[in-house]
Amino acid sequence: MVTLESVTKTYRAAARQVTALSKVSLEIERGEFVVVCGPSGSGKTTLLMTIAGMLRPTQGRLCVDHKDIYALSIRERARFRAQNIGFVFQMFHLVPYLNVVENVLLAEGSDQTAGAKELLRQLGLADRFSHNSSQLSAGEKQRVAIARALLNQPKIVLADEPTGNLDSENASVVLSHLSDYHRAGGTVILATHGDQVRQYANRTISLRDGLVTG
Amino acid sequence: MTSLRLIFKEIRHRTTNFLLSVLAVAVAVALLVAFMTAAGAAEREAARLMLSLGYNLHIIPGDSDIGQFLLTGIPDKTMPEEYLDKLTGQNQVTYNHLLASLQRKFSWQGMDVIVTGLAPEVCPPGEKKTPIGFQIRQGDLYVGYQVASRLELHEGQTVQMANKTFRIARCLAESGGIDDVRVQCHLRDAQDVLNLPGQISEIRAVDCLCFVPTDDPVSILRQQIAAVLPQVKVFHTRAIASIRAKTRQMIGSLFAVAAPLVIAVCGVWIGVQAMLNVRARRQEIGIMRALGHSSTRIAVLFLGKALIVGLVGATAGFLLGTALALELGPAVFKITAQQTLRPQAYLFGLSVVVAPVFAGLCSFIPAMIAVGYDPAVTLRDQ
Repeated sequence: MVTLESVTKTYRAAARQVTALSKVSLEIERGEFVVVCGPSGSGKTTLLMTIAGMLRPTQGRLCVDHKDIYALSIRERARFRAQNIGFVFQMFHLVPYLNVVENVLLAEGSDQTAGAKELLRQLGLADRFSHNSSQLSAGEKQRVAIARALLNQPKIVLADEPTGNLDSENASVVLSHLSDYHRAGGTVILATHGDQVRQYANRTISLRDGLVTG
Repeated sequence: MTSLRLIFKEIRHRTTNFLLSVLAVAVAVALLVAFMTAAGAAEREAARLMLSLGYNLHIIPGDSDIGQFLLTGIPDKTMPEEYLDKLTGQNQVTYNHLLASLQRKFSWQGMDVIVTGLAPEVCPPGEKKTPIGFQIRQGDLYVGYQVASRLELHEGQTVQMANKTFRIARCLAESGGIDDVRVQCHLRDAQDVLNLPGQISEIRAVDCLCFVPTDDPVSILRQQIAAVLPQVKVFHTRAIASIRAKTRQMIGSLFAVAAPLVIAVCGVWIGVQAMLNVRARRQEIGIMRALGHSSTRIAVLFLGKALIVGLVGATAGFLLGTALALELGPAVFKITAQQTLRPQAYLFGLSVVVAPVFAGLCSFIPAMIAVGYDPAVTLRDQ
């Protein structure tokens, strides 16, 4: 499903070369729930962004669903991302002037109001359709973000610290929804520095200073 | 979710940014609309004010004594009234506002006056313009200041002149010149009073100001008129022509300086607002890119908003500019405001086409910056 072959990503920050990923080679199968763990600055977010096609590796090759996504044009890569990859962020990133349903419908190419509402119902947000993000709790915001990530029925969901801003109760709710998606056959790659998530994972990958350590 | 819906939602959310951008467009459009609406009035006003200096083109009978004419301003000979029709019937001419007159010294109630008969002003075909001179009705008299004072005439009074009855329509203000001893009436009345039926002594006109600096207007005008009326003499009052041309050029120059300045300031203002909008929406741009929205979609969101800003600003600016011109114009253009200051429909059409394009151009760089945002960097920074 996802293959990284010796992927390296370096940044230039304040005239200094920073290696965020160093020759990372990974193989993630369809239907896996993979947790990428490691401390802050270990390269977790960079790894997810690279898999999402938003951060071109400095070296190495990356294939998603047997496609070298960085060989695609920017437009093709955006379309590929919209059709195959769902993204959940730690900071939710809901658009403040859109209501809950509209935020879910922001997923590119989706004109499925009924589908969006059904997903939101499944996530326990049936009474929040017309609310704006400022009227939602952190847990509700993250559930909206999950609905947005799942609307196009992606093959992979990339979740970057999805429980980082949630209390343990809301974190459990969010993780159980991701787990439901995984049980339905989806692939989840979740970055975290906590331990609560590990119970949901088939596999854990440890990152430190851009290197896979386990 | 359509781009238009997203744009309107964002406008409702960031009302201040939208209103400030609209204000920039509205100010630019309002100033330009007010200026262009007033420019017509200014031109007309200048033309009317120039009338006090007289028409700048004089066509007199060919057998007139030039010395006498230059000395008194009154030709000593007359010519048939039909000469006017011949001039009026010409196409491709460089003169306008043709006014036939008959002038003669006349003794009236013991005072030497100049009887001046004025025909209704006419124009060559396709050149119809609002008359710039008096339009005197038959039976009415316009008397100069000295005449009215010495003969103790007042407006509305009925008087006799050479067995004809006239009503004093206006007692003119003191001019300090020959007009103070003038008695002006309709050409027909003057022909009756002076017993010169069908005769005129002069055709006055205004050149069209279309000459370029290298032209010799007198030669051109003489050539054109001689082709129709070989029996007349043509005089061009250069000082008056020059003042008229300079006045019009001054109005044009003022616009040429003011317009780019206003447009530049408002353009920068719109650009700054657009840039602030882009910066405020970095996270939103990042998330949209992460969700697979294309560069085109991102650009459409910003440029589409700019078009709406332009459209709303143009409408508001047109209304504001027209209101300004109509409200303040009469105080500036005292003579012609009522006839010339009107809402100009073509300016509205021009505004709603040009302003959105202008706003789009001013927002183009910010929109391209938005398109160029790296979603990975944007989202990581958040």
